[in-house]
Amino acid sequence: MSEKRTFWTCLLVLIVALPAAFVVRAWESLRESQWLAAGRAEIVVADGAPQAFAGGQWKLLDMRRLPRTDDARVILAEFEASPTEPAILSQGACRVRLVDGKGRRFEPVTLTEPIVRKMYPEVAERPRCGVLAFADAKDGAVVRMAESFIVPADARDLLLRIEFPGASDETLVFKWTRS
Amino acid sequence: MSALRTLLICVLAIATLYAMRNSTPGYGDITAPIAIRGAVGERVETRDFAFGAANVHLARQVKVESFGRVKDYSTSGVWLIIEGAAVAKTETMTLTSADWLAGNGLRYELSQRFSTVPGYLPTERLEPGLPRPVLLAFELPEAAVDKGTLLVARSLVMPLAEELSIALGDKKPADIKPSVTIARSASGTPWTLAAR
Repeated sequence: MSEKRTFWTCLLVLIVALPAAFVVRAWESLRESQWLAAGRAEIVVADGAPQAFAGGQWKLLDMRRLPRTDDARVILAEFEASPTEPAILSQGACRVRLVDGKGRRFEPVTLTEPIVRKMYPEVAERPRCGVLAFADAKDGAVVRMAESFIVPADARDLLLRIEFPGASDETLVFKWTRS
Repeated sequence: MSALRTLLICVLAIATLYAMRNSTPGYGDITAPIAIRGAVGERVETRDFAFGAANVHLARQVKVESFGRVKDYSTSGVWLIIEGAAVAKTETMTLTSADWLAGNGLRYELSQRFSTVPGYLPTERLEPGLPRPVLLAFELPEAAVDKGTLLVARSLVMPLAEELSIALGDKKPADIKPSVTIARSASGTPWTLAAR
Protein backbone atom coordinates (compact mmCIF):
# COMPACT_ATOMS: atom_id res chain seq x y z
CA MET A 1 0.00 0.00 0.00
CA SER A 2 1.41 3.38 -0.94
CA GLU A 3 2.24 5.92 1.72
CA LYS A 4 -0.41 8.32 0.40
CA ARG A 5 -3.08 5.68 0.50
CA THR A 6 -2.17 4.70 4.07
CA PHE A 7 -2.38 8.36 5.12
CA TRP A 8 -5.90 8.79 3.73
CA THR A 9 -7.08 5.45 5.12
CA CYS A 10 -5.84 6.40 8.58
CA LEU A 11 -7.50 9.82 8.34
CA LEU A 12 -10.82 8.24 7.36
CA VAL A 13 -10.59 5.69 10.18
CA LEU A 14 -9.92 8.57 12.60
CA ILE A 15 -13.02 10.41 11.40
CA VAL A 16 -15.12 7.35 12.21
CA ALA A 17 -13.22 6.29 15.34
CA LEU A 18 -13.32 9.65 17.17
CA PRO A 19 -17.13 10.10 17.16
CA ALA A 20 -17.50 6.37 17.93
CA ALA A 21 -15.20 6.75 20.95
CA PHE A 22 -17.25 9.75 22.10
CA VAL A 23 -20.54 7.83 21.80
CA VAL A 24 -19.12 4.79 23.64
CA ARG A 25 -17.76 6.96 26.46
CA ALA A 26 -20.94 9.03 26.78
CA TRP A 27 -23.42 6.21 26.17
CA GLU A 28 -24.61 5.97 29.78
CA SER A 29 -25.12 9.74 30.02
CA LEU A 30 -26.89 9.88 26.66
CA ARG A 31 -29.19 7.06 27.69
CA GLU A 32 -30.10 8.90 30.87
CA SER A 33 -30.68 12.23 29.12
CA GLN A 34 -34.28 13.36 28.96
CA TRP A 35 -34.56 13.62 25.21
CA LEU A 36 -33.45 10.04 24.61
CA ALA A 37 -35.08 8.42 27.60
CA ALA A 38 -38.37 6.84 26.71
CA GLY A 39 -41.00 8.42 28.97
CA ARG A 40 -42.75 6.23 31.50
CA ALA A 41 -45.87 4.68 30.12
CA GLU A 42 -48.96 6.53 31.31
CA ILE A 43 -52.37 5.11 32.08
CA VAL A 44 -54.76 8.03 31.62
CA VAL A 45 -58.10 7.63 33.36
CA ALA A 46 -61.11 9.93 33.49
CA ASP A 47 -62.34 10.97 36.95
CA GLY A 48 -64.49 8.44 38.73
CA ALA A 49 -63.37 5.45 36.61
CA PRO A 50 -61.61 2.62 38.47
CA GLN A 51 -58.25 1.47 37.16
CA ALA A 52 -55.98 -1.46 37.96
CA PHE A 53 -52.50 -0.19 38.88
CA ALA A 54 -49.56 -1.34 41.04
CA GLY A 55 -51.36 -4.27 42.65
CA GLY A 56 -54.59 -2.42 43.37
CA GLN A 57 -57.77 -1.01 41.92
CA TRP A 58 -57.52 2.79 42.01
CA LYS A 59 -60.18 5.47 41.73
CA LEU A 60 -60.17 9.26 42.03
CA LEU A 61 -63.12 10.21 44.22
CA ASP A 62 -63.04 13.98 44.33
CA MET A 63 -60.85 17.00 43.71
CA ARG A 64 -62.00 20.03 45.69
CA ARG A 65 -60.81 23.60 45.18
CA LEU A 66 -60.68 25.46 48.52
CA PRO A 67 -59.84 29.12 49.20
CA ARG A 68 -56.43 30.03 50.64
CA THR A 69 -55.32 33.55 49.71
CA ASP A 70 -56.24 35.95 46.87
CA ASP A 71 -53.81 34.30 44.48
CA ALA A 72 -53.62 30.74 45.85
CA ARG A 73 -56.04 27.84 46.26
CA VAL A 74 -55.86 24.52 48.07
CA ILE A 75 -56.66 21.47 45.96
CA LEU A 76 -57.85 18.56 48.06
CA ALA A 77 -57.63 15.29 46.14
CA GLU A 78 -59.39 12.23 47.51
CA PHE A 79 -58.69 8.85 46.02
CA GLU A 80 -58.95 5.21 46.97
CA ALA A 81 -57.24 1.93 46.24
CA SER A 82 -58.46 -1.60 46.81
CA PRO A 83 -55.40 -3.84 47.07
CA THR A 84 -55.63 -6.88 44.84
CA GLU A 85 -52.02 -7.84 45.47
CA PRO A 86 -50.97 -6.24 48.79
CA ALA A 87 -47.47 -7.73 48.50
CA ILE A 88 -46.81 -5.60 45.38
CA LEU A 89 -48.31 -2.48 46.92
CA SER A 90 -46.17 -2.78 50.03
CA GLN A 91 -43.00 -2.98 47.90
CA GLY A 92 -43.26 0.43 46.31
CA ALA A 93 -43.14 4.03 47.45
CA CYS A 94 -46.12 6.09 46.38
CA ARG A 95 -45.43 9.45 44.77
CA VAL A 96 -48.34 11.76 44.05
CA ARG A 97 -48.14 14.98 42.07
CA LEU A 98 -50.61 17.44 40.64
CA VAL A 99 -49.98 18.83 37.16
CA ASP A 100 -51.84 21.79 35.71
CA GLY A 101 -52.58 22.73 32.08
CA LYS A 102 -49.33 24.72 31.87
CA GLY A 103 -47.33 21.62 32.85
CA ARG A 104 -46.43 22.95 36.31
CA ARG A 105 -45.86 20.13 38.83
CA PHE A 106 -47.06 20.52 42.42
CA GLU A 107 -45.93 18.32 45.31
CA PRO A 108 -48.43 17.54 48.07
CA VAL A 109 -48.10 19.57 51.27
CA THR A 110 -46.78 17.71 54.31
CA LEU A 111 -48.93 19.48 56.92
CA THR A 112 -52.69 19.51 56.48
CA GLU A 113 -53.90 22.96 55.49
CA PRO A 114 -56.13 24.61 58.16
CA ILE A 115 -58.97 25.09 55.65
CA VAL A 116 -59.06 21.32 55.00
CA ARG A 117 -59.24 20.57 58.72
CA LYS A 118 -62.00 23.14 59.13
CA MET A 119 -64.17 22.24 56.13
CA TYR A 120 -63.51 18.51 55.74
CA PRO A 121 -62.17 17.19 59.06
CA GLU A 122 -62.96 13.58 58.11
CA VAL A 123 -60.89 13.89 54.91
CA ALA A 124 -58.03 15.55 56.82
CA GLU A 125 -57.78 12.40 58.95
CA ARG A 126 -57.25 10.13 55.95
CA PRO A 127 -53.75 8.75 55.37
CA ARG A 128 -51.50 10.08 52.67
CA CYS A 129 -50.49 7.78 49.83
CA GLY A 130 -47.63 5.60 51.06
CA VAL A 131 -46.61 2.23 52.39
CA LEU A 132 -48.16 3.05 55.79
CA ALA A 133 -51.60 3.47 54.21
CA PHE A 134 -51.43 -0.10 52.93
CA ALA A 135 -49.70 -1.63 55.96
CA ASP A 136 -52.84 -3.24 57.37
CA ALA A 137 -54.83 -3.42 54.13
CA LYS A 138 -56.40 -6.74 53.28
CA ASP A 139 -57.34 -8.11 49.87
CA GLY A 140 -60.19 -6.07 48.42
CA ALA A 141 -60.48 -3.72 51.45
CA VAL A 142 -60.77 -0.11 50.28
CA VAL A 143 -58.03 2.28 51.46
CA ARG A 144 -59.15 5.90 51.18
CA MET A 145 -56.41 8.50 50.94
CA ALA A 146 -56.18 12.29 50.60
CA GLU A 147 -53.48 14.71 49.51
CA SER A 148 -53.61 18.50 49.43
CA PHE A 149 -51.75 20.86 47.13
CA ILE A 150 -51.26 24.63 47.02
CA VAL A 151 -51.72 26.00 43.52
CA PRO A 152 -52.12 29.45 41.92
CA ALA A 153 -55.75 30.57 41.56
CA ASP A 154 -55.41 30.39 37.77
CA ALA A 155 -54.33 26.71 37.72
CA ARG A 156 -56.72 24.79 35.45
CA ASP A 157 -57.01 21.39 33.71
CA LEU A 158 -55.60 19.51 36.67
CA LEU A 159 -54.17 16.01 36.47
CA LEU A 160 -53.36 13.82 39.45
CA ARG A 161 -50.30 11.69 38.70
CA ILE A 162 -49.56 8.66 40.85
CA GLU A 163 -46.26 6.83 40.55
CA PHE A 164 -45.39 3.70 42.45
CA PRO A 165 -41.71 2.98 41.74
CA GLY A 166 -40.88 -0.52 42.84
CA ALA A 167 -44.42 -1.75 42.27
CA SER A 168 -45.08 -0.44 38.76
CA ASP A 169 -43.11 1.14 35.92
CA GLU A 170 -46.22 2.95 34.71
CA THR A 171 -47.74 6.22 35.87
CA LEU A 172 -51.42 6.48 36.68
CA VAL A 173 -52.88 9.79 35.52
CA PHE A 174 -56.35 10.87 36.66
CA LYS A 175 -57.92 13.60 34.58
CA TRP A 176 -60.24 15.90 36.47
CA THR A 177 -62.78 17.33 34.09
CA ARG A 178 -65.31 18.66 36.58
CA SER A 179 -64.88 22.27 37.72
CA MET B 1 19.22 18.50 9.64
CA SER B 2 16.45 15.93 9.42
CA ALA B 3 17.25 14.67 12.92
CA LEU B 4 17.10 18.20 14.30
CA ARG B 5 13.73 18.74 12.63
CA THR B 6 12.37 15.52 14.13
CA LEU B 7 13.67 16.52 17.56
CA LEU B 8 12.03 19.96 17.26
CA ILE B 9 8.70 18.38 16.27
CA CYS B 10 8.94 16.01 19.24
CA VAL B 11 9.68 18.87 21.65
CA LEU B 12 6.79 20.88 20.20
CA ALA B 13 4.45 17.89 20.51
CA ILE B 14 5.48 17.29 24.13
CA ALA B 15 5.03 20.99 24.95
CA THR B 16 1.58 21.02 23.32
CA LEU B 17 0.48 17.87 25.15
CA TYR B 18 1.78 19.26 28.45
CA ALA B 19 -0.13 22.51 27.92
CA MET B 20 -3.30 20.59 27.01
CA ARG B 21 -2.94 18.35 30.04
CA ASN B 22 -2.54 21.30 32.38
CA SER B 23 -5.39 23.28 30.90
CA THR B 24 -7.90 20.41 30.90
CA PRO B 25 -10.79 21.44 33.16
CA GLY B 26 -11.65 19.08 36.00
CA TYR B 27 -15.02 17.36 36.36
CA GLY B 28 -16.08 20.05 38.83
CA ASP B 29 -15.33 22.80 36.31
CA ILE B 30 -17.09 21.01 33.45
CA THR B 31 -20.25 20.46 35.46
CA ALA B 32 -20.12 23.78 37.35
CA PRO B 33 -23.38 25.74 37.55
CA ILE B 34 -24.19 28.01 34.61
CA ALA B 35 -24.13 31.60 35.85
CA ILE B 36 -27.03 33.91 35.07
CA ARG B 37 -26.16 37.49 35.89
CA GLY B 38 -28.48 40.08 37.34
CA ALA B 39 -28.62 43.09 39.61
CA VAL B 40 -30.37 44.10 42.80
CA GLY B 41 -33.87 45.38 42.17
CA GLU B 42 -34.55 43.26 39.10
CA ARG B 43 -36.18 39.88 38.58
CA VAL B 44 -33.59 37.38 37.45
CA GLU B 45 -34.87 34.26 35.72
CA THR B 46 -33.59 30.73 35.38
CA ARG B 47 -35.44 27.95 33.62
CA ASP B 48 -36.85 26.62 36.90
CA PHE B 49 -37.14 29.63 39.20
CA ALA B 50 -36.93 33.40 39.39
CA PHE B 51 -35.42 35.47 42.17
CA GLY B 52 -35.20 39.15 42.91
CA ALA B 53 -33.18 40.88 45.63
CA ALA B 54 -34.97 44.05 46.72
CA ASN B 55 -33.37 45.54 49.86
CA VAL B 56 -29.88 45.12 51.25
CA HIS B 57 -28.95 45.97 54.84
CA LEU B 58 -25.68 45.90 56.76
CA ALA B 59 -25.68 45.66 60.55
CA ARG B 60 -23.32 44.97 63.45
CA GLN B 61 -26.00 43.10 65.37
CA VAL B 62 -29.28 41.38 64.51
CA LYS B 63 -32.18 41.06 66.96
CA VAL B 64 -34.90 38.53 66.24
CA GLU B 65 -38.26 38.98 67.94
CA SER B 66 -40.30 35.84 68.16
CA PHE B 67 -43.31 35.12 70.36
CA GLY B 68 -42.45 37.95 72.77
CA ARG B 69 -38.79 36.96 73.14
CA VAL B 70 -35.85 38.84 71.65
CA LYS B 71 -32.71 36.99 70.64
CA ASP B 72 -29.48 38.87 69.94
CA TYR B 73 -27.10 37.72 67.23
CA SER B 74 -23.76 39.46 67.47
CA THR B 75 -20.80 39.03 65.17
CA SER B 76 -17.17 40.07 64.99
CA GLY B 77 -17.78 41.04 61.36
CA VAL B 78 -20.99 42.39 59.85
CA TRP B 79 -24.40 40.97 59.02
CA LEU B 80 -25.49 41.31 55.42
CA ILE B 81 -29.26 40.96 55.24
CA ILE B 82 -31.06 40.73 51.90
CA GLU B 83 -34.82 40.94 51.45
CA GLY B 84 -36.17 39.56 48.20
CA ALA B 85 -38.75 37.35 46.53
CA ALA B 86 -38.54 33.97 44.85
CA VAL B 87 -40.89 31.94 42.70
CA ALA B 88 -40.71 28.44 41.24
CA LYS B 89 -41.66 28.16 37.58
CA THR B 90 -41.89 24.46 36.74
CA GLU B 91 -42.26 22.44 39.93
CA THR B 92 -42.43 22.67 43.71
CA MET B 93 -38.94 23.31 45.07
CA THR B 94 -36.79 24.79 47.80
CA LEU B 95 -33.77 26.95 47.03
CA THR B 96 -31.21 25.32 49.27
CA SER B 97 -28.05 27.03 48.10
CA ALA B 98 -27.22 30.70 48.64
CA ASP B 99 -23.63 31.92 48.87
CA TRP B 100 -21.89 35.26 49.08
CA LEU B 101 -18.91 35.44 46.72
CA ALA B 102 -16.57 38.10 48.06
CA GLY B 103 -14.43 40.25 45.79
CA ASN B 104 -11.34 38.26 46.81
CA GLY B 105 -12.92 35.00 45.60
CA LEU B 106 -13.88 33.58 49.02
CA ARG B 107 -17.34 32.03 49.26
CA TYR B 108 -19.49 32.47 52.36
CA GLU B 109 -22.49 30.23 52.94
CA LEU B 110 -25.82 31.51 54.12
CA SER B 111 -25.83 31.81 57.91
CA GLN B 112 -27.38 28.80 59.67
CA ARG B 113 -28.13 30.89 62.77
CA PHE B 114 -31.47 32.21 61.43
CA SER B 115 -33.12 28.97 60.36
CA THR B 116 -36.18 29.74 62.50
CA VAL B 117 -36.74 33.24 61.09
CA PRO B 118 -39.92 33.29 58.98
CA GLY B 119 -39.27 33.51 55.24
CA TYR B 120 -35.64 32.34 55.50
CA LEU B 121 -34.71 31.16 51.99
CA PRO B 122 -33.72 27.49 52.56
CA THR B 123 -36.83 26.87 54.68
CA GLU B 124 -39.30 28.34 52.20
CA ARG B 125 -41.13 25.87 50.00
CA LEU B 126 -41.83 27.47 46.62
CA GLU B 127 -44.88 26.48 44.61
CA PRO B 128 -44.90 27.18 40.85
CA GLY B 129 -46.55 30.51 40.04
CA LEU B 130 -46.79 31.65 43.69
CA PRO B 131 -44.06 34.19 44.57
CA ARG B 132 -42.83 34.13 48.19
CA PRO B 133 -40.98 36.87 50.05
CA VAL B 134 -37.63 35.53 51.23
CA LEU B 135 -34.91 36.64 53.62
CA LEU B 136 -31.18 35.89 53.44
CA ALA B 137 -28.47 36.63 56.02
CA PHE B 138 -24.70 36.31 55.71
CA GLU B 139 -22.14 36.73 58.47
CA LEU B 140 -19.11 38.29 56.81
CA PRO B 141 -15.83 40.02 57.55
CA GLU B 142 -16.29 43.69 56.72
CA ALA B 143 -13.82 43.50 53.83
CA ALA B 144 -15.85 40.77 52.13
CA VAL B 145 -18.87 43.02 51.54
CA ASP B 146 -17.28 45.22 48.90
CA LYS B 147 -17.50 43.99 45.29
CA GLY B 148 -19.34 40.88 46.45
CA THR B 149 -21.92 38.88 44.54
CA LEU B 150 -24.93 36.93 45.75
CA LEU B 151 -25.15 33.41 44.29
CA VAL B 152 -28.48 31.58 44.46
CA ALA B 153 -29.07 28.07 43.13
CA ARG B 154 -31.56 25.29 43.63
CA SER B 155 -28.87 23.01 44.99
CA LEU B 156 -25.09 22.98 45.14
CA VAL B 157 -24.86 19.39 43.96
CA MET B 158 -26.84 19.59 40.72
CA PRO B 159 -24.40 19.43 37.79
CA LEU B 160 -24.91 22.04 35.05
CA ALA B 161 -27.81 23.64 36.92
CA GLU B 162 -28.33 27.36 36.65
CA GLU B 163 -27.03 29.70 39.35
CA LEU B 164 -28.03 33.31 39.76
CA SER B 165 -25.19 35.74 40.21
CA ILE B 166 -26.50 39.05 41.53
CA ALA B 167 -24.11 41.96 41.89
CA LEU B 168 -24.94 44.60 44.47
CA GLY B 169 -23.69 47.41 42.23
CA ASP B 170 -24.67 50.87 43.43
CA LYS B 171 -27.43 49.42 45.64
CA LYS B 172 -24.81 48.56 48.25
CA PRO B 173 -25.74 50.15 51.58
CA ALA B 174 -23.33 52.93 52.43
CA ASP B 175 -23.56 52.69 56.20
CA ILE B 176 -23.47 49.82 58.66
CA LYS B 177 -26.35 50.07 61.11
CA PRO B 178 -25.60 49.30 64.77
CA SER B 179 -28.59 46.96 64.94
CA VAL B 180 -31.36 45.50 62.79
CA THR B 181 -34.49 43.95 64.31
CA ILE B 182 -36.41 41.21 62.54
CA ALA B 183 -39.89 40.43 63.87
CA ARG B 184 -42.73 38.17 62.79
CA SER B 185 -45.50 39.83 60.87
CA ALA B 186 -49.12 38.70 60.68
CA SER B 187 -49.84 40.06 57.20
CA GLY B 188 -47.95 40.77 53.98
CA THR B 189 -44.35 39.63 54.24
CA PRO B 190 -43.82 37.10 57.05
CA TRP B 191 -41.37 39.44 58.77
CA THR B 192 -40.77 43.13 59.46
CA LEU B 193 -37.28 44.59 59.46
CA ALA B 194 -36.36 47.73 61.35
CA ALA B 195 -32.90 49.32 61.47
CA ARG B 196 -31.90 51.18 64.62
